[in-house]
Amino acid sequence: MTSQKSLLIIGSKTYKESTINSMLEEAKQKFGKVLFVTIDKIQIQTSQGRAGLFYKGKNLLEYDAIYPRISSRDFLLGEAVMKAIQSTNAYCPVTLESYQVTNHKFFTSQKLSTKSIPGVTSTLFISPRYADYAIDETGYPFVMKLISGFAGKGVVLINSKEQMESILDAVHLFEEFISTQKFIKGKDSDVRCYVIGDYVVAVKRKCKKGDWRANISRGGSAHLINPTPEMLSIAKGAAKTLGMDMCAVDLMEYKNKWVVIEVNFMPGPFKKYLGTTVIHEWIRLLAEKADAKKGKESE
Amino acid sequence: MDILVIAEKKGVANPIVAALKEKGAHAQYLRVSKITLVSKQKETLIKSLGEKIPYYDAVIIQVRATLAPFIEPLLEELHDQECYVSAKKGAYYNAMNEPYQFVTLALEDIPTPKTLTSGSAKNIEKVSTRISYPLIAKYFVGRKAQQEIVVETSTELNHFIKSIRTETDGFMLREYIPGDAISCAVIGKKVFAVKRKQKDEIVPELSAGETYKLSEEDHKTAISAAHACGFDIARVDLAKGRVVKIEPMIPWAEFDRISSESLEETAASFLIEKAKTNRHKNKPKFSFFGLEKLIEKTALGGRLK
Repeated sequence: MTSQKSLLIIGSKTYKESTINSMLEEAKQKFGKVLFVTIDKIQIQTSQGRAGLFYKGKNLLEYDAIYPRISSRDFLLGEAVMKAIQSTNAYCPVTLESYQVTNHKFFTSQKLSTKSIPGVTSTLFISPRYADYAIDETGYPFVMKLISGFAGKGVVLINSKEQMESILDAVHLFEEFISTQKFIKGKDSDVRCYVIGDYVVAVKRKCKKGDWRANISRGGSAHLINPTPEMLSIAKGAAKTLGMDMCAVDLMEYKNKWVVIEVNFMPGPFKKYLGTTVIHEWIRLLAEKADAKKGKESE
Repeated sequence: MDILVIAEKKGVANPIVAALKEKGAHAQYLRVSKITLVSKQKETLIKSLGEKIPYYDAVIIQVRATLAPFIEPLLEELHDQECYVSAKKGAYYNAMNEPYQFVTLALEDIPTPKTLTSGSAKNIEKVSTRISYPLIAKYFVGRKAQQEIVVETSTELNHFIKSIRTETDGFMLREYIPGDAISCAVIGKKVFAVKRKQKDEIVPELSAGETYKLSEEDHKTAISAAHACGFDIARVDLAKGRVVKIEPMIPWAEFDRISSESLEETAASFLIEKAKTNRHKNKPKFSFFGLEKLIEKTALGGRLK
């Protein structure tokens, strides 16, 4: 039954149309009012004591549920928008801090390590001059990630000192921050756990032949699996530690144990392989939480 | 008392280290570029040239806001170790992003000029006829402001937008407040103010300023603004009592040249005070088969306290 609760989805400047269209279609069945707006179209207005988000004159902070699907490319407006959302009673499945942390590979590992969630040894440093100290911690081969890297594109596998030196020279030119991670030689697949409230959808992803990354956006394949208790515990623990009701936790098997490789703030729903399974669950949770919020307000 | 000064350059850190030593503290300088953060199973280590750095009672960080992606994980770890740090978690991310900083200040009810930010040039063009002038217009690439100008009319604003040749991430319009600019160095509850007198519509650099006595209200505003953004030690710029900028780095030498007092000495006293409080807080507690609890309940316990 359609109720009058409202949902706002804030998309990245470079959003994927098919994902958003499916989300809107699903959302219209559960929400009375649904709006999708890309972050660059929002007007952020501030004056003493007030911060507002507007789109075509509409106050965006009046929605019952707000789901920001923004990436590291949207940081300038993203942090301001998330801060404004957090000042309202709207239900939001992610937080400003989780946006900042999950878009920073090292920060994610660091946060998870505080709760003993298994991860991979990682380092963070500024100056390529002192890179050797960081590499002493991971050894060769290691994976080097630039802090703003996402979807596997900012990731390089480094096998030797020579290779590392030529790459670090280039990185230094762009004033990037460098994060390294011990390379885990897994099988040709990893597991992505979509955490959606208390529910977890687990997907096994196979990487493209010849590629060491299992990202679907790079041409791999995926299918649903039954998550083991260990996977469930790690994925839920990671989401809770980072303060997220909705995210995707990527796991890899290392020495017969599952370790977290990455946590995704804005995961794709793998529509090609999973249809609308994930999207359906996202909208279900948003509707459930919006109902609870409305229920509290009417008490 | 062990106090660490983290900075990008020796020149910034050394006067603070010297002032701390003068006051009897054990102080050290650590160049930020020498730090490596290592996250392992169950723990994160702060290392300098391969060696784990020891525990400090207090840490002052004086580096640019643009280093936030490195400083934030460092802050996280220092705070987890429960040592006093001059910046709170999240403070550097806040300082690195102007629209985010203005939202934070507005929500904390700090007086600021009105701002309007959008990622779309069309959005700005649309509102250009409905807003009052003059105003400050700027555009950003990433989180960095690229160009900032004062515009008097909507035609000027639209011309400015059309003149931008690079791909932008956002535009900000900010109410223009004419007059002198006041730059403040906030150190705990103390504020050193420098007035930069506007001449021919140009506000000079800090070095050309003069000492200035803040009103009680402006004094309060400067401290509240720094705290709202997570800093105990910061530079806060005011225009007619409203906050226009907060930066984590104080230009110590420039303030010292103008001010009759040494800022480093004030910072040293402040850090020592914080270190003292923190040292007591984190001192390992006496424990002997629960006897301490029994002793606490007796008259002796009260006297020991």
